[in-house]
Amino acid sequence: MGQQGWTTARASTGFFTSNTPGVIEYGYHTLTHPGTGDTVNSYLYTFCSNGTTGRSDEGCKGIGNNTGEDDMTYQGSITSGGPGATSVVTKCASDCGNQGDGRYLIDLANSAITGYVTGFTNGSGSDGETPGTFSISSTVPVSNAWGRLASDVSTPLGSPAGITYTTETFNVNVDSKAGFVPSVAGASGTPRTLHVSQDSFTSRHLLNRSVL
Amino acid sequence: MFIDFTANQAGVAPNLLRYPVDIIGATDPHTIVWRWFAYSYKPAANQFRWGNVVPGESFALDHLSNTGGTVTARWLGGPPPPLICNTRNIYFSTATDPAFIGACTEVTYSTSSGYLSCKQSGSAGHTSAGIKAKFAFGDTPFGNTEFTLWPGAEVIDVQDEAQDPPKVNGKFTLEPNSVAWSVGDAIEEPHHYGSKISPWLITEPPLGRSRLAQQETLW
Repeated sequence: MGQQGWTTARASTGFFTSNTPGVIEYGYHTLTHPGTGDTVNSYLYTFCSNGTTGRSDEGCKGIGNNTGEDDMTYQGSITSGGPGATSVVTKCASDCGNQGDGRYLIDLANSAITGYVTGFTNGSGSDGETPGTFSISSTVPVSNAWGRLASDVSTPLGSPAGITYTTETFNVNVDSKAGFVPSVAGASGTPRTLHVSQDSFTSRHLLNRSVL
Repeated sequence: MFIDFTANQAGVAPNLLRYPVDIIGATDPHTIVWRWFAYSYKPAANQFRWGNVVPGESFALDHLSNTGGTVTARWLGGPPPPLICNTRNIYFSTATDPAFIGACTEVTYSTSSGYLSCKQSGSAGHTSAGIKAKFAFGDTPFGNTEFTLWPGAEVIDVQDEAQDPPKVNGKFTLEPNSVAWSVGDAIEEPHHYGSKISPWLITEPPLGRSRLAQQETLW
């Protein structure tokens, strides 16, 4: 005579997924007790009467904790896009629903450049003003222009925030240029895009990202 | 563009994880410029975090010999990194017998004996005593630095804001870019390279108050 059935029961459950960047927390419990006496944020009482009858049984456990990196990542294919598109639609093939803001989207069909790093320099400057370099075995197109912000520029927020990017006007001291004319519109008829090294709260190198 | 070092890829398809890092541009055809951006304090963020990539040649060996195409050599210079146990190929960049210079494949390492062995046909039969060498991890004299540059863009929004309410449905809003994004192209949104994972975060109250509490307990 064996046990009569097997039940999974949870008195309290909750699931929460947030795809946006920022501080995301599931629970946050603050207890403030300026008076005398006991002060305890949480008690967890667990009582059991044993009975681990399977090799995978957890036994009598107060807290289970499983924290780590997702072992999959969002993959799929383009269903709507085009050259330089800032809005693309994808058909998901892997880790659907776990795409997230602030990460990168790469086009696996257009790679292309492979090689070896044969030397490197690290960045320098108290704020990382001078970025690092890799010497590489392969050949890449040279960026059209390099320069530095003439003065500190606050990272512009998207407008509306979290939904789109926004444009900002600032002055750049050009270090070098090869055929790059800032005032001339790009192929799409819009001003050429300058890519500011990712956190631009102080003077940074710039370049025309339409090349690389 | 984003640089993706092969040695830092983890898992196998369909769970392959890559950790591409943003490339700012190129100052000449063989020099690309990067800037690491992670949680660490400045100016530590100026340093590239190589992960499983071991650049440069700085690992010394002696007692090199090759019998029947199998090289054995003794590791010098302290305890070897765990990486050697997962390394497929090494490259002898210098050797007192130049026959050894080049790639050596199918590396195995014995932690008990301190010797590694690998396959190399060019130096077969070279067994004279006292041969020393330096090696790099991977297929090049500089190390296991194989990379792929992927075109891509930072993701601004994964919600389709045209829906009411907005939905996470496969639509991506991206920063301005020059990527092809052709219909049918395979795409991927890799995990971010900057990681810091801990199951517990413990913070304590100011030290002065804790001390007083401890004294009271002792009384």
